[in-house]
Amino acid sequence: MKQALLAIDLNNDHVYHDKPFNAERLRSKIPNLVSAVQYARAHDIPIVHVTCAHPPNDAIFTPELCEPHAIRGSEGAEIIEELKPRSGDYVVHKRRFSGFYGTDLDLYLRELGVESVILVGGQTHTSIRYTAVDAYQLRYRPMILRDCVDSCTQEFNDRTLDELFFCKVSRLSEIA
Amino acid sequence: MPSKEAVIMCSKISSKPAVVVVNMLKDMILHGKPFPMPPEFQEQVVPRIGQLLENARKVKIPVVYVCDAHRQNDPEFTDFPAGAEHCVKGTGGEEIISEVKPQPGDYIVEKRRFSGFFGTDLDILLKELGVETLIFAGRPTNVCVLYTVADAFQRGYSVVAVQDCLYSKTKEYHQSGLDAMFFARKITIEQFVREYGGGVAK
Repeated sequence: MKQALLAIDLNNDHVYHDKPFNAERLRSKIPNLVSAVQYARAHDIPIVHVTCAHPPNDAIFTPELCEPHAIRGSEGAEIIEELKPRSGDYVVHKRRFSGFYGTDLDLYLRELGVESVILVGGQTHTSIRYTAVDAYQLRYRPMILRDCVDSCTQEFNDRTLDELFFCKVSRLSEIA
Repeated sequence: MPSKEAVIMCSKISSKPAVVVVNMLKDMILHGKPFPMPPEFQEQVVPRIGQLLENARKVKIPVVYVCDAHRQNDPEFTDFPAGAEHCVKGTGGEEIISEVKPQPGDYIVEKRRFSGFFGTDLDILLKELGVETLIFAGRPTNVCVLYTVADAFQRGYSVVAVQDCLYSKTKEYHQSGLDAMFFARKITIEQFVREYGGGVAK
């Protein structure tokens, strides 16, 4: 089954500036994320960086919901140095949780003939969850690498993974 | 409980509402397919959902039923271990239970995936009705309801979850579904009546 690696919301604001969620737990996964990307490169698995790039006045920036973050073109929206896209990688900019909403991600994966997506990055209870469910609904086989995702709290991470019955939940060490 | 920072409550005042009621179907509620609902759902939550819908109609809030309606051999039945045949069109199991029967003027949207927005005309219908706020009831809180609420939020609707008109296969899954909706406002049926009128809630 042709696979693609979706590296989700690994931009400076999400990973290093704790915006909009505390990312301490996600930062501890950076070495595994680097290994996952290396694994994909070594096995010719296409890498898609799916990352937030918001207009400054995005409707989701409300006092009740979240502060402005990952503004298109800003340093905060750039992919972290450790995972910098290389030639041949694809970058998809999104404005909502799901990497499929309002983007060309589905189109790109179809063009490549991808049937299964491997999801890594953050956060498990937001962008990972809603990208995984859209992948499933679009009939891709989603797989999440438990050792390459995290949330602001362990409870959010663990409960979300427990509820994604339509996803395969594995570990990098199990597939690599 | 999730940390305080994770639970950002959306307290936006809601306007131009519609009530969206998810999966009140015979297979799911009477026949235990694809999984049985606990008895408290039928005993306590279903009557409250009935009241919610009655209230909504009384104050002219549109009522939209979002319902599984599968093809025979839908791959969803075999995609994952918990899958099982349910709500196949034409079997009768896909019909809405009599306790919350649709009334003239209500809308029905059929779906084949978890989200009521996926491959359906729900978004078009809501735009035609001029709706800006979606008020959710039904089941299961942590699957079809959650993914429909999230899709509504992503499309720019204000989303409201009527906590005591939602349920899952366990209380824990119901709660984790509510916790996951940090982008939704949570109310009870009493609050609904207070804000929108109607008046039959006990």
